[in-house]
Amino acid sequence: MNVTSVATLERDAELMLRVREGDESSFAILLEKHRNSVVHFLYRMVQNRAIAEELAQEVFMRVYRSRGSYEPTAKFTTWLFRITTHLALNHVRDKRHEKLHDSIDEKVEDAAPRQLATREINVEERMLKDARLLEIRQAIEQLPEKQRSAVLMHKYQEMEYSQIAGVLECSESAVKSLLFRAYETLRMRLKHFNSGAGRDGGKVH
Amino acid sequence: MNCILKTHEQEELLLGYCTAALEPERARTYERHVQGCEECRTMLELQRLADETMNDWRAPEVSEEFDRKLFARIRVEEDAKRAWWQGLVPSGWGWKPAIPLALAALALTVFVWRGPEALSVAQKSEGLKTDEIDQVERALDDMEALQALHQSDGESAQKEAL
Repeated sequence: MNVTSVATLERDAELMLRVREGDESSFAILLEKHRNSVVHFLYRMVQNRAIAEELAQEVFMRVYRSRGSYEPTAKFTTWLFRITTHLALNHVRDKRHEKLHDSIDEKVEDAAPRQLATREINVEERMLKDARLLEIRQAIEQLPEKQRSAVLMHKYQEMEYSQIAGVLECSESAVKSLLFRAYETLRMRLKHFNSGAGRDGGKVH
Repeated sequence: MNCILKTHEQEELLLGYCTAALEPERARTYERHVQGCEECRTMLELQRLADETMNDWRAPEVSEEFDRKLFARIRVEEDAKRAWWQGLVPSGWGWKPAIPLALAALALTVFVWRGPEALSVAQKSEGLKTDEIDQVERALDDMEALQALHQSDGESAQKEAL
């Protein structure tokens, strides 16, 4: 690789190339940078903290094992999330037979401690929020695997259609279809919570 | 509900608008459309509710042990990889003494694999050397004969001059 192409490389790819040369500190930097996003994505995919962390360990093991053959042909995060999604989808497929609501209660314990807003919210409001959250978590868990991963990458990793397409190895239009169907399902699941739908005279923003 | 937008376009505008990915002019056009379209207005409200609810879904903190566990796994795997060839060399030896051993093994392999061929090439080069010696000897003989001829010519010319 010549000097010019190294200079134009994204920072993560550059770090990964250093890992390839045997620099472990660059791997530690990459881990620090991407650990949370990988674990959080996996947590929302499998909705279990321990499994998410176990899968994330395997993701970073694979990244480390692949250092010798790494070539920066795609954006680093695309490559990273390709590995992550692959492992998550395999896990989800393996565990598909397990009943959804068997685990949903214990998963709630995994969730981050509730962060109270600066203003106090009353009990009723909080119960409503919790019910909506439970509904959306169940709805996401019930989405077909590819729709689920697409919607989580779009919402929480803020990936563009093209990058999601790179991760899922499909076309951009296929990604749009996945997202449109997924969000439609989520909207429908929350419909009964939307008491003010269509009543504010079309106020936007 | 009679929205003039096609389903695909409707969804694309909705998501683009909610993620602030639309260009300003397109966003304004969409806003104007939503004012007069009940279907799109309901979709927008529900999408916002879904976004808001998803924002409330916080993932737990990654455990403090995560990095330590990972590096320990890496270390174990690296050690296991190293072990197979380290078993060939007595413990306490570095990797450098392995170089002459590797070269000797390589030379032996090449000899076993290409031995007869290499021998015939050597014999051919021996044959070439014998031919070259003959040629040089013949050339020296020719030069001596020419020199003798030249000397006898010189002597007869001197005699004639006298």
